[in-house]
Amino acid sequence: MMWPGPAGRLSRALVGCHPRRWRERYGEEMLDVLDQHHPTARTVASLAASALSTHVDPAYRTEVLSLSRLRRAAVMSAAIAAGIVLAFGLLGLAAWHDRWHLSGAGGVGGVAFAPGQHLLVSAVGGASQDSMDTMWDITDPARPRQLSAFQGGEPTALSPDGRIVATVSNDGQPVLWNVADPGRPARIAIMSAGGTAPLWGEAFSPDGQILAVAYTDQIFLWDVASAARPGCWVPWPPR
Amino acid sequence: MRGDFDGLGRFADPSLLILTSLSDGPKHGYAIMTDVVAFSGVRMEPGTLYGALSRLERRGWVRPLATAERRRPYEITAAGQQILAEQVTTMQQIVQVARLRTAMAWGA
Repeated sequence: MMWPGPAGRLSRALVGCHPRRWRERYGEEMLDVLDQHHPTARTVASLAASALSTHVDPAYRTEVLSLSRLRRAAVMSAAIAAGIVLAFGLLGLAAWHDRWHLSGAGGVGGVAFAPGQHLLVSAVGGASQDSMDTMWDITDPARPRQLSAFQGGEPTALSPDGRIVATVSNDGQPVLWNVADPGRPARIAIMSAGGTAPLWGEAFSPDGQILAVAYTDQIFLWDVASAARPGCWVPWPPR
Repeated sequence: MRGDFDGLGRFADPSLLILTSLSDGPKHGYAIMTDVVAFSGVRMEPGTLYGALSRLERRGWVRPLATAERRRPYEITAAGQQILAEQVTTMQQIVQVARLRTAMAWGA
């Protein structure tokens, strides 16, 4: 027999929490089963339920429980209840934390959908080192699932086919990210030949071929049909 | 006699699985658990198994045999075989109706 783990030790202890008459009849058999079984949390839960139900079973409840056994059963039940509450609490906290947990510092400054997709990108912060974009799967809008986070910031835009994110570099220039696999974004290009004023808006054309980048004093149109080599048309208004 | 299987309440499923397991011969506790997993995929835990076994024993549907070391085999009784046959007949009726209705619903 292997040395039992925590679930095995707890299971064996719970066999001892059954009424005496029940233990005399089934105790040895159950310990033999536990020697062959691989006890888990389910095993512990089933034995705890069994111990409680046999104590209220008319066939066994006439037995007078000793104070020490009652105390032992109460402590064991309290420990199990506390463990279950803690486990569910941690699971709930993890789910809450995962839900809309935004990477980066500061508040959300921008969000963008891809039409017909279940993808959403959100941006936190502007042109700085700790600004981030986050990709979300919102197939179930009640349970948004974070897919990835990468350096970016507001403004941000998602191409109509959901494969490219336009965001901003830490020195204020437009950046393209390949999010065809939204769980593993890859940076494609920085368009450093743009304006010098603060960048405040980005938008893809409906066919996804053109990216409009707005600075406070000019609008640049970029040909992003080949996203790895974007080309820039003359900005408007010209200087 | 219509067996009082409903009286087992939420224990009906483990009881049915145990009676089915014992219908081809006596088995001890762990052998019942592994047999039930093999034919139904249900992983019965020791607490559930012995809770159901004690109820079946009290109703006279299973009987304990002599213990070999720490292992005590159980066998199904004639009353247990009768109640199992009744349950199987009921389940067959349910399956027949379910098949007929789902076939009508899906236009098969």
